[in-house]
Amino acid sequence: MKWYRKGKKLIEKIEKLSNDNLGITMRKLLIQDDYVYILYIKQLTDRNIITFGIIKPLVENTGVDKLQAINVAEAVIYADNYTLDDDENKIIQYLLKGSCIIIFPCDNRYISVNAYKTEKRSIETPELTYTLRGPRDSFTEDFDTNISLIRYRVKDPGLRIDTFEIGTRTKAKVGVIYIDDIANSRYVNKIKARLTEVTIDGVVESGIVQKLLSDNVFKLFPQMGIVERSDMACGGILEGKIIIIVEGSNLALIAPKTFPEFLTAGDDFYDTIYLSVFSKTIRILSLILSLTASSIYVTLVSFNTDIMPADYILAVAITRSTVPFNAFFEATAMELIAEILREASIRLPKQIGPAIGIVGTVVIGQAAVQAGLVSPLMVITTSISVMASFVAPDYTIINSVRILKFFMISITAAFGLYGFTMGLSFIVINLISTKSFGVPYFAPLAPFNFNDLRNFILSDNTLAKERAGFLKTKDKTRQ
Amino acid sequence: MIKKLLSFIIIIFIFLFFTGCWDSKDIQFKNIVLCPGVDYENDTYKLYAEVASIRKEKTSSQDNSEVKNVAILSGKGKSINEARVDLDRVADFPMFLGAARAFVFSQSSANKGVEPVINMIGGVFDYRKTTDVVISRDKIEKLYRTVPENDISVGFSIEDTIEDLVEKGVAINMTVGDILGKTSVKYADYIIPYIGLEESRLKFLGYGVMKDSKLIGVIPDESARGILFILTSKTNLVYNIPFPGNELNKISFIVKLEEKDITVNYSNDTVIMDISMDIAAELEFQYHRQIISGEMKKEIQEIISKKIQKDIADIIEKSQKVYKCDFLNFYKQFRARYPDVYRQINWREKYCQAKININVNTNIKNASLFDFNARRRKDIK
Repeated sequence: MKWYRKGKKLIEKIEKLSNDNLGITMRKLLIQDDYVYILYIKQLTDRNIITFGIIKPLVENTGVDKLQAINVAEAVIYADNYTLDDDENKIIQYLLKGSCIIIFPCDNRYISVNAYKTEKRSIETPELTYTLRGPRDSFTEDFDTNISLIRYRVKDPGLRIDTFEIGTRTKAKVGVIYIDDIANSRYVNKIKARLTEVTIDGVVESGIVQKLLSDNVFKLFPQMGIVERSDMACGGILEGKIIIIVEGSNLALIAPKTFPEFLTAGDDFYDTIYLSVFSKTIRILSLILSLTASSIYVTLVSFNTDIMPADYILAVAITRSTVPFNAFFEATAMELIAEILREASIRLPKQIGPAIGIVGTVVIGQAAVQAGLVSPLMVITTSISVMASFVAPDYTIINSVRILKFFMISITAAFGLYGFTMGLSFIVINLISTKSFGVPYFAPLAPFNFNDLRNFILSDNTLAKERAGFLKTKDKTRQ
Repeated sequence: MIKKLLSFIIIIFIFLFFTGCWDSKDIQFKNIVLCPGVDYENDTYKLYAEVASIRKEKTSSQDNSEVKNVAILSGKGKSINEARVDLDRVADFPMFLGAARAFVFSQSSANKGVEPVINMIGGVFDYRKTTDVVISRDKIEKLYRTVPENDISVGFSIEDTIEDLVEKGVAINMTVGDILGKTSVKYADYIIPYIGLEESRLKFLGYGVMKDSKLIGVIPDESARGILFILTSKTNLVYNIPFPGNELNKISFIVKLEEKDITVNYSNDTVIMDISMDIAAELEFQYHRQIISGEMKKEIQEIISKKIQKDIADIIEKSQKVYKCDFLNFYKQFRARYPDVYRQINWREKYCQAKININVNTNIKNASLFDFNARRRKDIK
């Protein structure tokens, strides 16, 4: 009767647990003159599965000779996913993951039925990477939904989804998704190894996983991209990249990702070559403009005025004739104001955000010019700089540019055109020396590869017969 | 990380010592010189600066964002340097030469020599190398007081006039950079556009001949056609000739230089130059419309070639016999072919004795006046 005593002991322990404010619900069923205990956390479980898949068949059942876990699991309950276990210490973990535990008084084993269900958003249109041409199904916070979005597009037997549990307390599921016969094993193993080594207490967003996976958290430029749209994630997987989905985050991560790829939008692959080349050129110019517009203004006004055509020199001088501040102060102040407005409009509700934008750009700008505090050219420059920063498809790259903009203004204000060149050189050197999971960050420009560069510029998979060389994929042929 | 940060800071400080940007002033705190000028009178140099007045004039309706006024600053001294120091005494801000449109020398100052002034300008780091240099027949002060009706300032007016003529292919210009280049070569003489006031308006009058960077004479524009054929690759001159067999009718042709080849030979201490030019002529208009036959075309081509040949020969003769200097810059071809000889000889002397052969071939490219039915028309004989 050893097993009987053990079962009773387990029940006593569970009764004690249910009184510890863990939110565990305990249901007792009298079956065959004995009590069967059902434990679950109602916020994490599907009541229908428990009622109709577990309780109802148990109560109605009279056919099982012995009320034992294996018999009940195999012949009584309606559950697609169950586990038999006898480790009483794991019960809490099962419950916290949304399982329903069935304990029998005369069996030292218990059944853990997966009845996990939480409230979740439906699949909505993307908010960060809006598209005109591409599909609009974006990832949600639900892990399984995100996996299903990828699975229904990529029906390849080589698709692998390696799941990890990150966070000693949050136990968040992290899925590493790739195609086994395309993705380079070195990058996959590197990501897996780093995820295995993680000992953090909790992960609530993919941004934390991104930092955990980064080579150096002090690097200014992101070494991984974010993916909101499932079609872009699938495109990346087919290209030989690795997608990382984090439970509770609607933004997946993509790695490796190079700097030029941050300027590629999903639409580029769907539109005509001419439009994609044009759009890409606009984006590259915008990025440069956003980074340098204000610093160019500073150098032209304060140091190297003579490089402008004579007519412009006069125009600039006239617009600045009433400005009491020097160009450096003026540019820094205006860029700071623009950043304040950007921050304010992001945090404010959607209904108020645009109003702030209008107040900032029109009212403050116009008033500052009329008061003679800033020159109209500075207002135009700042506006162009801010506008240009919205062109990048992945906002994470622009965050770096926003900070570097002030670095460029400062270094130009100190050294003029010389400083401007020096600042740009620093940035380019930094970019070239960075690697994303072993892939050169500035590829295909440095190291230069003509075919990859052509494919990057044209963004047409029908013309690109091979996958990007810098990714060193196992299967290099696309078509 | 700390090492990297330290090395970054050290690099920044090293750069700090190598740049001279600390005393730089914003553009509105500089005197933007539009037209510097030099005059010489009674053994005294006068340095002028036409400065843009950039202070905004606020009107009730809108801001006025155009240069409407210019200020004339001047300084004088026994030397150019003294005049410059004197000019600084009246200037409220540092002078900025990066927006200068034209540099004017009065005839008297050009006679004294332009080289010291041009070298002084060349020493200023922000000077505009492409600033046009001109010589004024009139006194600089008088020139500045003549406010052009259709332009912002005298500086703008001079540059716009000269550049327009150059663009049309009927004149050549000379910039500060050009003169700095010429003065660095021995025996490199040159010409500078010559302007003057006529009925209170600026007018291009011709070219001042500069020998050793001193004005030695003026060639009127009417007699300077040959200069264009030799010194430029773009001409757009109009030649008016009588219609063959009908003196009462005149034909106007636009003449363009298509190809130019100057070959230099040096033997027996003599310079021999062969100038060969291919000219394209286009019929502009006739006083009375007449059909130009194939024979007439040949005849007209011959007439135009002779006229151009004469223009070129005249100007070469002037340079050899009147001014005795190579302002037509043949030295370039000679120096390129005989660099060692050039160093040893007195090029000016040799040039004046040089034998120069001129061969001009004209080809009429269009004689139809764009009227393809001309032959059928009854009113055309």
